[in-house]
Amino acid sequence: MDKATFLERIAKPLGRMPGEPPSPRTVVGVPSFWADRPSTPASRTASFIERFTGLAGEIVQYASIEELRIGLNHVLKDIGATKIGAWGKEAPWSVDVEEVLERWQALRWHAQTERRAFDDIEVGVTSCVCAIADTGTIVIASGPEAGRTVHQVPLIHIIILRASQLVQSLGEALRELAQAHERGDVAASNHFISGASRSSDIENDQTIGVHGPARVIALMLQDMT
Amino acid sequence: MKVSLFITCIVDSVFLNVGISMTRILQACGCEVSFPPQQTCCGQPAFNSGYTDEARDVGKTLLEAFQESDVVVSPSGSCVGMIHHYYPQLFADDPHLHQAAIDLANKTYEFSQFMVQKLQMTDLGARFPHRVTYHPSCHGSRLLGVKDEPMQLLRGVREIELVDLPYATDCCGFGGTFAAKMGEISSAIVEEKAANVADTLAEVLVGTDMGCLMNIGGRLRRTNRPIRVMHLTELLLEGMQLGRGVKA
Amino acid sequence: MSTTHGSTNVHDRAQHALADDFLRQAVHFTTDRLRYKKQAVTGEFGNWEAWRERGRQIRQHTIANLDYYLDLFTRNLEAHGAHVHFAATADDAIHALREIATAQNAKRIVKSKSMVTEEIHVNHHLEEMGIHVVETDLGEYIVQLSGETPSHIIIPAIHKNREQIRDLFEAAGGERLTTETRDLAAFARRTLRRAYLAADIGITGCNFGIAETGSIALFTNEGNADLVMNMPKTHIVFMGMERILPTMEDLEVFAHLLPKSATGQNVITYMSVITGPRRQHEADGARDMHVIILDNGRSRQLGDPDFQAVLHCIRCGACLNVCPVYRQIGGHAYGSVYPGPIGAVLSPLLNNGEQYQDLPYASSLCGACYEACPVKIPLHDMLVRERQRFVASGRVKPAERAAFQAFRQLFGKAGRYQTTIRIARRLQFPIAHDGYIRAKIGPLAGWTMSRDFPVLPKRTFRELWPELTRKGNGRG
Ligand code: SF4
Repeated sequence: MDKATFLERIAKPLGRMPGEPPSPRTVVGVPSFWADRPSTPASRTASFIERFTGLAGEIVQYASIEELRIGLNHVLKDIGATKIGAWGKEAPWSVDVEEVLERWQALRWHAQTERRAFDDIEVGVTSCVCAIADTGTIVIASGPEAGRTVHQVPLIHIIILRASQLVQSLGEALRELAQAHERGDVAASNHFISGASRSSDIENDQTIGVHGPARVIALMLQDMT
Repeated sequence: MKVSLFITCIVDSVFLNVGISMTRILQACGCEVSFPPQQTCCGQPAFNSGYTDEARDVGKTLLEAFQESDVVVSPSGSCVGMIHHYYPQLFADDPHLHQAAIDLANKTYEFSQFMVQKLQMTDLGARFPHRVTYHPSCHGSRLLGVKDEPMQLLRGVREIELVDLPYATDCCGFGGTFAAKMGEISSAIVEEKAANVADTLAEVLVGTDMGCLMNIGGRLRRTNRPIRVMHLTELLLEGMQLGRGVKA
Repeated sequence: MSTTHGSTNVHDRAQHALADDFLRQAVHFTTDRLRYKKQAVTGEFGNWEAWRERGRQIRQHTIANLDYYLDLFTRNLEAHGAHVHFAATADDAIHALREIATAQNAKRIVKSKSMVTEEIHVNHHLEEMGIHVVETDLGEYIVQLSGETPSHIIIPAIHKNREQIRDLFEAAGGERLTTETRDLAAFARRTLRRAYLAADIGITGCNFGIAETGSIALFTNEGNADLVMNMPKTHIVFMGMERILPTMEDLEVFAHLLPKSATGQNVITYMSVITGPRRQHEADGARDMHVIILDNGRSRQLGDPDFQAVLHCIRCGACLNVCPVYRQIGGHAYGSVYPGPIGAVLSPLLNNGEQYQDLPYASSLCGACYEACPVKIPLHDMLVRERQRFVASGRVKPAERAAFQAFRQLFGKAGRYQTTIRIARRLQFPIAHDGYIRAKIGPLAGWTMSRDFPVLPKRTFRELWPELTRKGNGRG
């Protein structure tokens, strides 16, 4: 059916003319008691850590970039992975970890990547747009050097971020997304990740890592103190 | 206070003692109680089955009966809920009846609601030394919003041992004609309720709606679970008599 | 929608379910768990009633202006390079699907969980086209292997135990498995990973379409939807036309309401916000994106004061988890892809025929569904309105109609009412014992099959009234 007819079938019973602007909105988005909560860097960090770890996420904080690099190296060594994938050099990294990724000969994502090369990576290393204190959520946008495959395919996902990237609410991240749309540069995929992949479909018994990563590890540079 | 009884058809025809108890309690609280005889039934059996015209004709008996009343009190949260939520719309087509329906809704109270909200009495001097569990009926608690009032009255009773009913707010499976029309499903629901009641080891099950209590009580009786089933008014009156040393 | 159980009615199907102890236990266990988790998470979250009211208001506004928001949504979608298909009926939607699949020469399709594709039987049609289709949500995969339909809109395989699941997986994979959850899940991960890699098309549903950006928001816990829409070269989205929110800010409200109501989770594990197909310099994500927007009986509810609000539903399943009827009979007994209270309301509305007319009677009207609903849909009132419609249609049993006409006559005047009670009192004597009736006769049979019914006492309250007042109107 063509669009005009389809919309007309909706507008008519609603008593509206096709193309008529919507009735004025009395409420938009969350209630003010939620939007207007006080929030400080310290409270955001505390809340994020509580939520994130509550969802089986693992988080380590570092006081300097150097320590974070050493930390990443340790984490990769502990995992003992042989096949590591990571965003490309030009991706929006929150902290420069190039030297570690090079040392581990990580497969790097770029605009001409053949996705199949990443099909069997064991660990994916990425950064993120922001992270959400209310829900312990990591937000990842796709881009030419930031392939979705890098964090969706492997069993282990490592996220490099800074404490200054923490926002309080989902709403802040979503508003930013809407603004990116306004600017004309919204990412095709914005992925809001809260903990490890899980399912309770077998007799309510929760199991992790069904399709997505079973381990989600955040390495956070504490740059807010 | 002048109070008219909306006794409900089920109490009128089957559970007289509930009517007697409610009358006595209201009288004891200083109310001048009347019983307008034109009343029959709120019409809910027909209304819930989709027979609006039939429900309207039966419901009219209440509009007539309570025309002159200041306050109407009833031992059923379900029937009062019917008046509050559905009468104004049921009689919307006739301006005169519509106004009467709105008036009736505004002055009609479920018993515990009346006691707590209107009379502000929660301590009736009752004593009831038994283990008791309370089933909150769906319509009274959920649709009419009378959630805490019955408990406030029960907590005002001395020596009563109140035990929580597991899955208390779950429906008992009565649902009016549902119980007969979907007998097997209703039976499965009421068995679960009866089992939960039995699990509390209560001597008495108390509630505020005789439809539900007849349902749970009928199941308890069929399955030989010797638990006494009482309407809140019955428990309170017995307790008041005990409290005064009158043999119940 | 067509029934998956032939021409039986809900009453007969319920018998079947009631005899299945495993099913009932499984449903009790799962719904209990979901209810308590919901209670805990909403309690901790706080202000739940204010959130519900907010949800209701946003949905009401959206549906009341749906043509505007759908227009905006689809214009944005197209600006991002997605193809939009408007399907007035299930046939139209299947037709659109067929054209896309043919153009792509598709052989294999992977799917993530979507109720709307169940509604129009997408899998059945794909198989008819000779296309191999695999469900990737673990629960849906189980249900697909067993040749059944989901019995819960959030937990599709609620009715299956681990032994049955093991048997299904062993048959599908030709390997020996234990009944350990970990093993079974690992098998699914391995097997389904191959399916993603081989698929030509990925099909998903849509939890919310955001009008201001043209985005599709998808909620999953397993992460399967992401692989479904990013690995194959084509992504097809099926969505009911009502699944719209005006803005991203509104999505925040529903990102709280949905997972909290559905599973008692504070937040969904994966919320994927997809805005168009992959961009020019991207190396992954679907190249083509098609969005099929389905009416299929929905627009008939618009402008109907009794039923428009049914389109506010966000398919969270909370009403199923609190429903005393669903608790006893599970999902399949409803015979519709939408079970529980929402299914009892929605199925007859979307179909507008004789089918499913008995579903609105499978309710005690307890109102638990309304209380649980995150957008406050008055399902219990809608069930009564559907019964009214059925009565008005003239298709009710003559005996029932006669009974309510008698009720009207006899209870319509106090005098006649009293006479009726007197006669009934006399009639009951042959079947009354010890103050109760157990005989399974007439309309009482449904009751007395499991419960005693009290007999009418010698007098009515009104007959007693003069005595009550005589014995002292005062401090009785
Ligand atoms: S009717 Fe309400 S509770 Fe039921 S699925 Fe829809 S939104 Fe959820």
